[in-house]
Amino acid sequence: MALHSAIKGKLISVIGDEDTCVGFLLGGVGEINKNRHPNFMVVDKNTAVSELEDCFKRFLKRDDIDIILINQNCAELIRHVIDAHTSPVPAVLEIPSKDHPYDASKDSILRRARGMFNPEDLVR
Amino acid sequence: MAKRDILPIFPSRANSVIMKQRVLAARRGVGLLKRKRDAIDMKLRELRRIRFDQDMHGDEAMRNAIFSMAKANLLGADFKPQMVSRSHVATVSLRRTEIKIVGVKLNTLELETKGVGAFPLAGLSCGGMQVSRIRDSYTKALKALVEFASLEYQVRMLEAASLQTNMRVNALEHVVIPILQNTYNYICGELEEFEREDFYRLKRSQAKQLEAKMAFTELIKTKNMTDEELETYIKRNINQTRPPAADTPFDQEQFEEREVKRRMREARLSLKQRREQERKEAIKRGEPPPPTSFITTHGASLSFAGRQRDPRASSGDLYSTKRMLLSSGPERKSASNVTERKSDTPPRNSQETQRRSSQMSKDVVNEDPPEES
Repeated sequence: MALHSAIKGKLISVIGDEDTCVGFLLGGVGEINKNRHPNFMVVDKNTAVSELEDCFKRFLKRDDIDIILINQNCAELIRHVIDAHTSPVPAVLEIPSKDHPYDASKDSILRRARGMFNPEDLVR
Repeated sequence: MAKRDILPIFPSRANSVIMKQRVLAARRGVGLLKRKRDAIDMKLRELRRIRFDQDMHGDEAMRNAIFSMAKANLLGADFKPQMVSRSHVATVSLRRTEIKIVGVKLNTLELETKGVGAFPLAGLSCGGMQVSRIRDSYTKALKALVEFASLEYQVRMLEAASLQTNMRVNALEHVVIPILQNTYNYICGELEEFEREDFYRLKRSQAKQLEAKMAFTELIKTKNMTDEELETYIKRNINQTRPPAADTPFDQEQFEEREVKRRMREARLSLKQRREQERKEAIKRGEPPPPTSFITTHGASLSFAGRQRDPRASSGDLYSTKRMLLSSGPERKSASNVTERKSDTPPRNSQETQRRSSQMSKDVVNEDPPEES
């Protein structure tokens, strides 16, 4: 237990609306590092796309983040940045939000998987 | 065969063995890599199916989490701004462990939980039950999403490994193995060429030795023969292509170069004298000298006459051929020549002189036929 505590694990970052962020923060995801940079971002109506893009790129560059959870409606705004990210780490997962249900046809991961002619994904 | 398809290796027996081993090793390597590629593809297909199932689980968990959040919003009061501004240390983190799938190292992400959970005092004033339900739902959703992310990572790495292994298989099968096989074939061809060269060279050497041996045998056999024996020998051996081997001892002086040349000079001198006498006799008779056709009278001896034209025939060999041609000539000419010699030189009574004159007459007749023909 002490050894595990000594080794610092990787983080999960969240980009989404207020309810999504609060939910995952209750789950224990949130952390603000020494530079006062949080690993989550709340997106509302007044958030600019460039701000969202900068935040996503900053999360990509951090070496302590292994998974980025992003609402699909937010992901649609920065689709080109998500498609440009091709390395396996950090993994970018698109999650549904309350107002926008999940659409598999827009998911980059499933779209890439369907490109390999997997019949099980076509069934979905 | 193009030069680029062959490795620059000297063709030798040792290199032939080395190249054969390299071909066999390359084929074995291709077999192993193909099996690895097939195993990776099977594992990849399995992981994709698991990822699909996990995606459904994640979607279900997220749906439950969103529903519980909506319910809490309906019941609860304003508690969100406090959490957004006061989270300092994450209570959940990701731990990365390494696993090996079909010889490919992959990382697995596991979710670790520390403490009792974030914000234990949230919702104390109202809606505490709903807040704890939100916490549980989102924790489950996080676990599902982390597992999905881990599977996604593994699938990507396995795809890259499968692609790399396939490239190696194709490179070995279509580039390396043909080059090694061509080199091996080239070396074997060169070695066979060397063997044929050696065999042919030995055969030529053996043929020359056989020719020399046959010529020497004939020379030795005919040295000590008298006229009758020589005539009988020629008649008997015309039908035979190769004479039998003999081991008769012979006198060295008879075949020395100086002795043979001296006899040839005496023979030419006697030939001139004989021609002048024949011309005088013809003038006395008032008739032209009758031409003598060598082919008509000595057709059977042409096989021996042809040997004179062989550039490899030695002087001794030529002398032996002349003796054979002399014995096959008509008896009348030889008899008349011998009579003339005896009448011209009456004072010499020694038998050695008679033997020399008989030999000279033989040479004269021997020289005559080829010029007439």
